[in-house]
Amino acid sequence: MGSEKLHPENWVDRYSDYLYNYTIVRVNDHEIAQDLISETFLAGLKSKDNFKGDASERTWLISILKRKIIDHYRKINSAKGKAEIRVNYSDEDGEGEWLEEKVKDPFDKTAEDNMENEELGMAILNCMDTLDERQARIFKMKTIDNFDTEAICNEFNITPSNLWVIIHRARRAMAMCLEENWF
Amino acid sequence: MNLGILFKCKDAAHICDKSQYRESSRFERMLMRMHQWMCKVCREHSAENSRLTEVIQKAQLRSMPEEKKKELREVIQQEISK
Repeated sequence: MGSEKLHPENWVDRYSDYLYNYTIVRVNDHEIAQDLISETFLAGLKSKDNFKGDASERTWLISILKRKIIDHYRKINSAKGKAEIRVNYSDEDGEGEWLEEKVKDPFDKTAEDNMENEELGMAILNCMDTLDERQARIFKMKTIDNFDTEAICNEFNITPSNLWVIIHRARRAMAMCLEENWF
Repeated sequence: MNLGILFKCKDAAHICDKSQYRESSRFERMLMRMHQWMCKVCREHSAENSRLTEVIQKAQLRSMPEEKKKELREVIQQEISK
């Protein structure tokens, strides 16, 4: 039995954004991503007795989410005639050009970029995990969610000076972490 | 405005942070640049800080909507208390 323990009461605060970013790049739909995460948490609760504590809580939740994403695609593809083929024709006249269009598929062109951005996103979120919880929340609200300084100060009952000190420390820690793990 | 800022790395760093969120004034940025012109450490810090901003923007991170989080918290609480 490993040392890790589950804390379902903290799952939403600790992991929902990480899981959300992980899912959104795979399903490309906000609603579906939210549903899959909801299903993941519920499945996690149901099978919490199977958690051995060898992996971290987040790794365990990701492994459940991966299965949910695979199931999602299985469901889509098992419905006959509903397999997704991306064809962008504005009118029937353009239909004859589909072969040429497939050859220079613009979606393939960006696939590598998307993959790199996804890995970068996960690296950033991993680094945010190394910040203390309050610092991470403030940094996230300011940097990712683009909240106003005033709104964050009100929420945390801090002065703008305090906020900028926290932001400065968080940014230094993030830069160092990304230097080690990404750049 | 304290013009002594030209010589204080701490204040230059503060303006640099504010600039990452477009919250510095043109005058502050001018003072920061003058300071950085003279201070290599702050120049390097500014480059590192801007790089962090760039990579975060490039990653296009998103947060789950707050109302959905609230909903999920309630569902989990209900399940835990069963």
